[in-house]
Amino acid sequence: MSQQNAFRQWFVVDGLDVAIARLGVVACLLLLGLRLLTSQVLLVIIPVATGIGCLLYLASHRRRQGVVSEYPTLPPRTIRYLPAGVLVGLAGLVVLLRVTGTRTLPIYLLTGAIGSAILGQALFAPDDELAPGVVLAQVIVAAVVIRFSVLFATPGFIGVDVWTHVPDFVAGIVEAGSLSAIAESKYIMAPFYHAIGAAGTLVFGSARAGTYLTVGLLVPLSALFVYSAASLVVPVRWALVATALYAFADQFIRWGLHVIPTSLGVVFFLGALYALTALLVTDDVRAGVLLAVFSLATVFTHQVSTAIVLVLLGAGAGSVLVARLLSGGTNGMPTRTAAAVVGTFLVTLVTTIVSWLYTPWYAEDPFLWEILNTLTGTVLVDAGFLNLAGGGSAAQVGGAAEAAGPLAGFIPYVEWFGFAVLLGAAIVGGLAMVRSDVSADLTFSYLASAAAMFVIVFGFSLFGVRTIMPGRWVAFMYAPFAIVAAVGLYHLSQHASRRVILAVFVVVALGYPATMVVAEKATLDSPAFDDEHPRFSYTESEIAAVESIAAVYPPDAGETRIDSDHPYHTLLERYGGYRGDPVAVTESGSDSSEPFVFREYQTSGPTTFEDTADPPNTVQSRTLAADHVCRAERNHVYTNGDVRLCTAATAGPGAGT
Amino acid sequence: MYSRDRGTGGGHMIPSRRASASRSDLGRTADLVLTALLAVGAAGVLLYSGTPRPLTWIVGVPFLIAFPGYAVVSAVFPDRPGAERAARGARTEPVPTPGWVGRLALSLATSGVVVALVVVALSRAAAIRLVPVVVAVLAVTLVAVAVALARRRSLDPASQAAPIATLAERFEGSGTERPTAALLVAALLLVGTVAVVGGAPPQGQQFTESTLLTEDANGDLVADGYPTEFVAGEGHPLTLAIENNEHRSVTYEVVVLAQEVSADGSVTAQRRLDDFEVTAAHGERRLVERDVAPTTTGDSVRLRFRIYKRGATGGTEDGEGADSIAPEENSDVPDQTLQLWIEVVDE
Repeated sequence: MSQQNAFRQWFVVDGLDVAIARLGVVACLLLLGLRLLTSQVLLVIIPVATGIGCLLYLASHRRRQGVVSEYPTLPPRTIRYLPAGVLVGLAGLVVLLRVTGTRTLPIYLLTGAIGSAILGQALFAPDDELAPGVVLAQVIVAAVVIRFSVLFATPGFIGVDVWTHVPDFVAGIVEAGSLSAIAESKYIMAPFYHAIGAAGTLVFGSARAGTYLTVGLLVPLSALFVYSAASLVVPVRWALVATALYAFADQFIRWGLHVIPTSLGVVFFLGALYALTALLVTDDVRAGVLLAVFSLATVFTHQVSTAIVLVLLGAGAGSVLVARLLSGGTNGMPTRTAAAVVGTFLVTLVTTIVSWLYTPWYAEDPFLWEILNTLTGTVLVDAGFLNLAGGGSAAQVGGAAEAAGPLAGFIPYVEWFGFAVLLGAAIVGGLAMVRSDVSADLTFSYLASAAAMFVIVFGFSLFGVRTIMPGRWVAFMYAPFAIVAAVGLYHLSQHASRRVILAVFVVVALGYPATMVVAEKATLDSPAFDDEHPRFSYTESEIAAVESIAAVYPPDAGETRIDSDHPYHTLLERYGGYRGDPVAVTESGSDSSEPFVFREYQTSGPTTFEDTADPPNTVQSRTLAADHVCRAERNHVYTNGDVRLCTAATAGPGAGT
Repeated sequence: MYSRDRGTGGGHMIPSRRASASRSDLGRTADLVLTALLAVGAAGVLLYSGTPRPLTWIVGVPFLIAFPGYAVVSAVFPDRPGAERAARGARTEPVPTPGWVGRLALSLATSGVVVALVVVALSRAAAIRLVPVVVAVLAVTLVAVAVALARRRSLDPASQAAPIATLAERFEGSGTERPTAALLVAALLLVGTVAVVGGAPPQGQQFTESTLLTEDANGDLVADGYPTEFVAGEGHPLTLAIENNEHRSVTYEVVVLAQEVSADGSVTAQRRLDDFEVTAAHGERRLVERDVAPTTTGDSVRLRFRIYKRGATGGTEDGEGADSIAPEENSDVPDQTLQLWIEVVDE
């Protein structure tokens, strides 16, 4: 055995991967028992996906010494014409969206079909028919078209935070001609997103176009990093698979639609992931420089993304240190490579600490102390086993299930299916990497970072620790997952039976994109399951209402309160400048004397109000009559047909309400 | 690393050494020269105030998110992909420097870093305005191109990066087989579709905004602090704002009613106080101030402003000149309604 595998000897005694897989199966069966304690679907999805991954690995392991199966392929003629079909499909997507104005079921089906056509080429093309450049181009073009057709078809912006970042911060910077517009926010120490958006605004003439055509465009294009990193680990076919898996992942689509600093954080994180991979594979010190550049760029872009990059760097640094320690410094890695990884981690960590010490936060203390205090409080006070507050949709009351229909319980499984496929394949890949000849430091960097992110996203959530915003971590976590999943699929292609390969690859090619593109986070603009999730985009009249109301009912620097539904209250708050809350309702209506904004969508969509019952809960607005809150006893002083402003009347039967 | 026995498919991604050696000096630096020229041209276009928007988009995007990063990455990696690096341990295979795809990805992300740093620096040193931003990004691009040229030329010609020559080699001899032709047609279809759809955006939602306003102490028209106590027969000024977003000129007919409302919410009597017409072009906001003088006394009087778009009403609910209307005759539905609760007292 070579020197570099000395480290692996400590872990990979013969059959350790098999032992882990067997343990995994048992653990998954035990984990399924938690489903009895809570209704979280993830407590089914994760054990089942992990268990299937372990079983697939075990099954393929039994055939390791056997003959390599005949690889299933599509007819060459089909492979040759699929790229043209993908491009025609994308053109159809643009036309359909232009006609309907918003994404509808046919558009989602077409998007899923496009994803399947691309993944199908990567998975089922005969070796001599696989054109990597053509497949990669399709992935990138599809990623751009899918996001940008939606971005420019949707009035205003998609999401919540973007309504502060672009119209307020980015436009404010351009108006002021300096970063003083964000001096009071935590982004004064992380201004890269807003700086790029400001440059785009100056060039393209509007903050919206300026942000979309710079940061918004970088997001789908950054999938190229996944390809580049994966191609250093697996053959090109599987690098293409990894790229397609990532490009069609719901959370990656999410940050291409909701274009905020997290989106740019994803771009720089992927750059750091690629640089780390390149550094560990090539020992090229220039990759170390790139690693430092992208890591520090993340620090100056977004705080949560910084924490995630630190996890990646920490995993990388830990891996190379342990590798050197256990192999007595003989694992073949040049000192400069180890120094570059560890040094980048330390420099990024110190820079983060210093930066956060000077980052303003809502309270008087700097961001660093505030976030540590909050985290400590969460861990010591709020955390508890299966404390899943905020983690699921099951908390909704007020006839939600009835309104959502009989298939409501089935929908979460559809939405999480893509994740299950990714997780299952990544489990196979992780086990395969432990045994493979991929360098040990790279293997453990990937596995440790992916595992750490997984624990933070799902493990911490299990205990109610959500201070570090685990939902933001998922898109980042998917990157190493996609690459490791590609390793897993590659492993199956080498070791599984033809029938297993065919079954798994068909599920991946057909099931993954179809379910990922309809998941909640990939459809913020127009949820595919519109009975379950509210849209986080607004019509022109809904946006105009906020502008008009703010003009004649001044928000008084955020002191004036106007209530509405969730999420519309966030638009009133971020774009209108009000102190907006979801209105609190009782069985008889609202006792609040605060102004309330009604919109027609409250009568049909799954928007929510606050329920004043004990304990407080949410109630779906559509289960209440249209005049339940915006009652006839109130003044109706603004309307545009879709939106109405109801204020307290000082005369009449509702005087004072 | 994994063996490449299934699905490499990427052998042609790495140019052959022989081909590289045959490249001309211009061929090896054409990409950098082109980057510099395009960046200068783009800067000129962006700084010219009369540039049409589509052209601004076409040149602005690469100027901001491709050229600066490409120049910097070219300066960092002057060598061609696939050059052998010192292998360590069992890594006996040639280990590539970033391939073209990796360099493209690095160029894009690095452009983001460069532009962000330029803007942050300008915020400290000058002002974040169009001219300084464009000039500074251009300067960084040109300096990086110069460094890249120098570094590339310092290498053995066979080791120099030459992306354009590589591309030319790759397309050399490619015929017009049916799948390629189909792909080209499909690509043109997609580009054409995007251009047509982007060039002719949809009309947009049609709606009208109506707001009831009153004057505050500063003389501003606001939707707050309305008069609530009226003396019967005495007028109070109220302003109706109508903004037309119907994408056509619209004449609005407005009927002002005073309704007596019982405790259970039913209308016991109503009287028309006023009616008038307002015509507004698309995008126009009209303010109409009216003296509203209710005569019906009571502490639960509801002023209603019923707004009809001409052609949508089919006539008002009351006969011509009839001020007093029976509630049950109030059958038609206005397009929009505003309401204000007031108390009306005797003189």
